[in-house]
Amino acid sequence: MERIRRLAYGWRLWKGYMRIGFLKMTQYPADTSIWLVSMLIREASGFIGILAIAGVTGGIGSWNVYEICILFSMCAVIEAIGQTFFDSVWELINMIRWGRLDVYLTRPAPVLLQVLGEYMFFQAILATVVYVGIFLWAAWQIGLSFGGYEVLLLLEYLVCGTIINSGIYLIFNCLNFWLIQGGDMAVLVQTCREFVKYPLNVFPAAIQGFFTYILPLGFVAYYPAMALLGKTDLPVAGLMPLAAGVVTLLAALIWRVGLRSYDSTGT
Amino acid sequence: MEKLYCLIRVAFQTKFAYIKAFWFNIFGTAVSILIYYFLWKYVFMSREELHGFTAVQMTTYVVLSRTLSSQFSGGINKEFAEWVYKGNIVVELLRPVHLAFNLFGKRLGEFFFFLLFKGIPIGILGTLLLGGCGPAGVVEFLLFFVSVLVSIGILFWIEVAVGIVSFFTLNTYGLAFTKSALLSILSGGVVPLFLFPESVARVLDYLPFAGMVTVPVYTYLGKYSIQEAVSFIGLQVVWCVLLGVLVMAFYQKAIKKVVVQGG
Repeated sequence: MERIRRLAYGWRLWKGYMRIGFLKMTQYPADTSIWLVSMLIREASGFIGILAIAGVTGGIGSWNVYEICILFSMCAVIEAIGQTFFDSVWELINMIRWGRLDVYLTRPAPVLLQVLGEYMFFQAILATVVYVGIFLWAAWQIGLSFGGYEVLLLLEYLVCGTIINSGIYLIFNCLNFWLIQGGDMAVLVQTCREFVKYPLNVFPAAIQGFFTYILPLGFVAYYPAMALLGKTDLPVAGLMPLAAGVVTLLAALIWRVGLRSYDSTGT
Repeated sequence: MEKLYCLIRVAFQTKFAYIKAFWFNIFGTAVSILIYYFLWKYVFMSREELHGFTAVQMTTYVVLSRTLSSQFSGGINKEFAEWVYKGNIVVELLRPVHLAFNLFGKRLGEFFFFLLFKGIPIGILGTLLLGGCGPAGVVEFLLFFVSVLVSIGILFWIEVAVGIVSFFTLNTYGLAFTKSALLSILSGGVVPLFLFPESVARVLDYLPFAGMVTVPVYTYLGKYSIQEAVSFIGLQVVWCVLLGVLVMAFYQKAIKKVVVQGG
């Protein structure tokens, strides 16, 4: 009973944070439109490149233009969800450095919930509308049929992909608890993430392995897209929760240990 | 001239003080070079050439174009926007040198830093490690440098224009991202312009953006004859002057609007 009450309380709080984020978006329409355009164009710059190559050469390996569209939009959707709800993990560096985490520690709600709620970036959710549109258009072009399996796979990808993506960002941003410039590692990881927007089989085996076993970002979009398009015999539907589970465990562990070693700024 | 030298030096030293941030910048550029290197390598596994490009030339194109276009993410528009945001613009306007001159000095300093610590090392290392080719000839090589130098003028005016927009909106991050992504696409920094539909590519060839990546790299690879290269560089100069006039006119209008936040 106590647990349920806590959960209900957390959910109420989360709704409150979402409301603030939503209001921020609607209060500054010009600002929101600039963000939206900038996000779409930034995503497009990578997209246009590979589309142009695939358009001239008739596809990259076994991936045709529409399949590349599907992979790209699936990857972008996850990133946008992460930006909307979990972007505050990038603020962790400042929260630790300026001792702002103290405030959260004195409140009764879970600290991670408060950290995540600090900034919600609803502008990114608007961008997902465009990505979903591209996805549906591409799926329609190659005549992808949506049965029960596909819908379940997509739901699984949304949940697991978000957990893996944002979980990895959380893990690396937690390094700030111990290192002065811990955020740097997270930035490096985010830079590396560029690779998984493209069909991984184009890259050498070492890079494929890296994004499968060491940093499982391949499961954010590449493997789910392959499963959806019937390009692989791998049991992706089973591997996704596995990867997500490992990332969750690691993130929870590092977060707890990190929070325990947090000793404020001393000011 | 002495003033310009001092401004360049200050900007250079500021960059040098933040050399660690620069390592991340280099890492990002290296990743983007590798991605496109592998993509093209995959494409060239099943064909000998594409639109007159061999695999070796494409590798060189990737290394040079990604390095050149990595400049788009920096630039003085950030500093300009910060001046407006914090109100320092008032002090900068009072200085005995013109604001544009001041900014240009800083931009040149940033460019020389880029050239010395990123452009030349990454250009040489990338070409050697990934197996690219050298310049088509001595004249082409010299023209390549001339073209890169002129392109800084074009880039500078675009950055000033983006900076001036910060008089009207405070969302300068969004603007900076938009600028760097748009410039990469339009200049040929992401993929060579010939991959775009022909009519689009033809227009883009003559816009100022092409002058920042396509013209220098094509010159380097010998895709342009000497005459063509010289006339394209001439076009760059024309664009540079034209943009300068337009942006300064915009500046004169905008500067009257300066609203510095109280506080």
